[in-house]
Amino acid sequence: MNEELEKIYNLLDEAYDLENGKTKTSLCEEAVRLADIYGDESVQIETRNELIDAAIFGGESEKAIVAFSWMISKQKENPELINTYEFMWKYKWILGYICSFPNITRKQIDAIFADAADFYQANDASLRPIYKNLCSLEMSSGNNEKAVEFYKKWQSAVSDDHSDCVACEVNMQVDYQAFYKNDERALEIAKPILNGKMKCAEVPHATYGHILMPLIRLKRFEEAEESFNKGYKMVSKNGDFLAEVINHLRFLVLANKTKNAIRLFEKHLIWALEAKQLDERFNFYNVAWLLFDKLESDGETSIKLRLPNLFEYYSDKGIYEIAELKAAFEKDLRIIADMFDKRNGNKYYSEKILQNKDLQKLAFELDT
Amino acid sequence: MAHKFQIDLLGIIELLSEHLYSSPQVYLRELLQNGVDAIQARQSVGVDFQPGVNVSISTNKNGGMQMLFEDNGIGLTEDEIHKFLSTIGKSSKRGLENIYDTDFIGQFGIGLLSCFVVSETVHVKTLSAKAGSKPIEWKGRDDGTYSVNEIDENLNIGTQVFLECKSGLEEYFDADFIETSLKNYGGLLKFPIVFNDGENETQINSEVPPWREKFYTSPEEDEAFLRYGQKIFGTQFLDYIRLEDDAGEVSGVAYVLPFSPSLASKRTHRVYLKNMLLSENAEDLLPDWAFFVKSIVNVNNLRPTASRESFYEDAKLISTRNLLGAKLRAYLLDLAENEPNKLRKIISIHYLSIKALAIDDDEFFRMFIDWMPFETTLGWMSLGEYKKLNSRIAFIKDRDQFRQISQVAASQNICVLNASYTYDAELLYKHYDLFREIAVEEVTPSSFSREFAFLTLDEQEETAQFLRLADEVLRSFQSVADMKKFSPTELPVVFLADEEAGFRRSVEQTKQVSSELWSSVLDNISLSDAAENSSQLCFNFSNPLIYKISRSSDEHLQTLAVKMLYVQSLLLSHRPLNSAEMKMFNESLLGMLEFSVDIGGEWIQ
Repeated sequence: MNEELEKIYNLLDEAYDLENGKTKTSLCEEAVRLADIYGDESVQIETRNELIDAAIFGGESEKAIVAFSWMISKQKENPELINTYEFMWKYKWILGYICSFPNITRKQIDAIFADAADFYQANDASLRPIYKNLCSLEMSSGNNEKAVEFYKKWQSAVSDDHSDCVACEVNMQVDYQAFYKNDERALEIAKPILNGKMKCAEVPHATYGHILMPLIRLKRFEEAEESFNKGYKMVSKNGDFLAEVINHLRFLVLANKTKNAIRLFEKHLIWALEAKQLDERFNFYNVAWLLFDKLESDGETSIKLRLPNLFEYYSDKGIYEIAELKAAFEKDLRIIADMFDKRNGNKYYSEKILQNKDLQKLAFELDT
Repeated sequence: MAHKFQIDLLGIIELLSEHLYSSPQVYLRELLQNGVDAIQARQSVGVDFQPGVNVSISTNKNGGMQMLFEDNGIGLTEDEIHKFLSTIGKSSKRGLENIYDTDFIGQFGIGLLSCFVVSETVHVKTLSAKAGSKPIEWKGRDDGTYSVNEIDENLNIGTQVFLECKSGLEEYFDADFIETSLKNYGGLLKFPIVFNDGENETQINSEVPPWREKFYTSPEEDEAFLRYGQKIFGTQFLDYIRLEDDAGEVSGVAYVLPFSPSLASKRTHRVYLKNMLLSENAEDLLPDWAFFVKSIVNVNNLRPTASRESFYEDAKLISTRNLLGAKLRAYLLDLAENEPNKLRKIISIHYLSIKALAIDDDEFFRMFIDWMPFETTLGWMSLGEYKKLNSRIAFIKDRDQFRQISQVAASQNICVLNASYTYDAELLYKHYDLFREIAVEEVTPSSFSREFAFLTLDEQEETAQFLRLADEVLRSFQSVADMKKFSPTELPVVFLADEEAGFRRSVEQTKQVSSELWSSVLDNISLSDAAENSSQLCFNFSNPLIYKISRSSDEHLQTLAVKMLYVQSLLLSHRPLNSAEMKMFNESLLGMLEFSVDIGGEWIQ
């Protein structure tokens, strides 16, 4: 093997040995750059395949989308070069993330979903994964009727080897039921995951977070605490699990565990700041607002925090006025909500800000 | 009396062999498990007897291999035989998910079924310990027929299973194979397992594991443990850690690996349940951060999953995992206190594991952080050494950015940590959290370049025209020009790009090959609310070439030089050229040649 190729494969090997996260992704990016200089198409494809995996599971889906755009043009130009099966899996992942960027228009999203569906049908594959992603798209866009419609289509479409694994599918069903506050149902569905009968790389990690709100609403607080204890550890080290961290942080705020909540806030704020997926940044800011609202109602006025200097309101001394922090997050929340609402053509995100302010009603105390 | 299974027996056998078990050899595990369960059942009713399992192989009159597997456990009554058959019936309808949720009798039947993978007939003779029981014989065939009869034979209490090897599967009846498998599965069992290969009789579990032995000196103990590890895993381990709990539910040993394992792959362990081997590759029993050890553990109170190869993730598993984690942690703390040299050696191999633990554990962090190695612009060093050289901690989080500045930083003797490796940045943030008196600062290429020496006012004036021109040339490449003084003086320029600029570059490059739809998506995805971040080409006024070019009055030469230096710096930082850059490179190269030919004089005719 010549020297350039060896460099590329050394990078991929090094990446392979790492857990998902920024380091792994940046090694793959470097491999892609070298492959582009080297100019061999099969190496360019191989390195991008690795980059897409790393970026999707390492919390930087925008990088996966860029690499996938390259792949899809290569696929249209010369289909023999690309492994169809692998390509379809990646296409499905991309669908799951595309709506997280408010600047991508609904028209563009629809065109991409249509293209993906065509591709799946042309390859004689079930549309099950497409429906699953459509359901999730409509849920996150505030189109409830459509979400229900696609949920039904997803559940009735046949499963094939392009579908997600059973654990992932069940996990998403739990999310769906919890989202619509069918709390008992969500917990029922989650059972085989929670008792260890179903698992994969992302499950039960995510599931422990999904069931927190149902448990809180059903006042099953001890179980919620247990779910936090088990689940947070599993998601605390990889930025891809920001959505789950948000669920755990919300639990801590509602459970009046403010000290612990502040620690999580300090630790994970950097993920939210660096997240290009603005829906996740939005959700994190919402729960941050909830935390400072709680502190304010506890009578606190200022607080010492260790925050990254990337934070727009960063203070060298680390002392922050709580009212100012609340206002700062609220301001950013409105900016992001406007972007999404404009894209979605409704007020869903603005309403989420209001609903969040109401959550304090669910606050509770644990016995221990 | 002949019966017909009310179930799809062949289907079940297929399921068992293909989906549930790793390979056909598990029939031996199942037979042994049945024997163990039967013996424990008989012990639990308080009968005094010498428990034991005997396995023997022989050749039948046609030259085929056969096996007799005997235990002196509780045995089965005729009713119980019917019960296990009905359990199998239920399992066939419910699928295999819950088959191990059944009781001893049900499991016994399922264990027997696995024998059909290697034998066309399974022939059982049994006498139950229950008062008034009579010897019973059960003969099953893999075509789905079976018979149950009382027999007039003098049997001891217990169960005998006869198997006849299917043709083609002789390897699973081979004496060495059986002996090794029995040792593997039953090596830790406390009652004798005797194997007769037709000539000799041997007890296969005569060796006692070291944690059940008493040692009077620690060298003796060390040697016994390490020898055992070498024997089981074939590895010369660095050290060992005893794993025992007070309640006697957990026992075993963890061995410190002599090499650095992959972070991505889970470490697997050799796990026994009530002294029967459950899995040689069990995950999840130890905490995630424990990837520096390989362990052998026997547990008494955990619930195995359907495949019997790992455990259910329940509260008991979690508390066992916490207990084992605490043992490993105590071991490392003890080394720090008492055996620093040994610790240094272990850290040099396993620092990632230790870093992972330090993130979650303050006490551990305080104890170990200064021992941890980090890459810096001045080479690898421990954080303790770094702190001796520097009053604050400066780090870069991105590997590409670290490379951009490392040459310049090294030559100016500036020490910056490369925190792009797993856990590093998080550890450094935590450092500030726990030791506020030491400042911790994240550096980016642009913040780093702000520390380069500025030009004097005169020098700024002299080079102003050149910088304007360079800016003009670079604008179409989303790049800006700057002029500073830095060493090494041989370096004419550095290309500095923050993460955002790097991302935009990849977007621009991809857009050139993308369809209209995806190209417009890329445009929108790279729109951001952050301020425009462009890359920067920083010229080095201390470099003789740059000094001359920047003061030249020849704008054509300057333009060519900026273009060439820009492309060169991209290539040096491993950035592929897009088509516009490639075009510019070609034009400026030809321009440069033309220029040198022009000053070299007329073509010689």
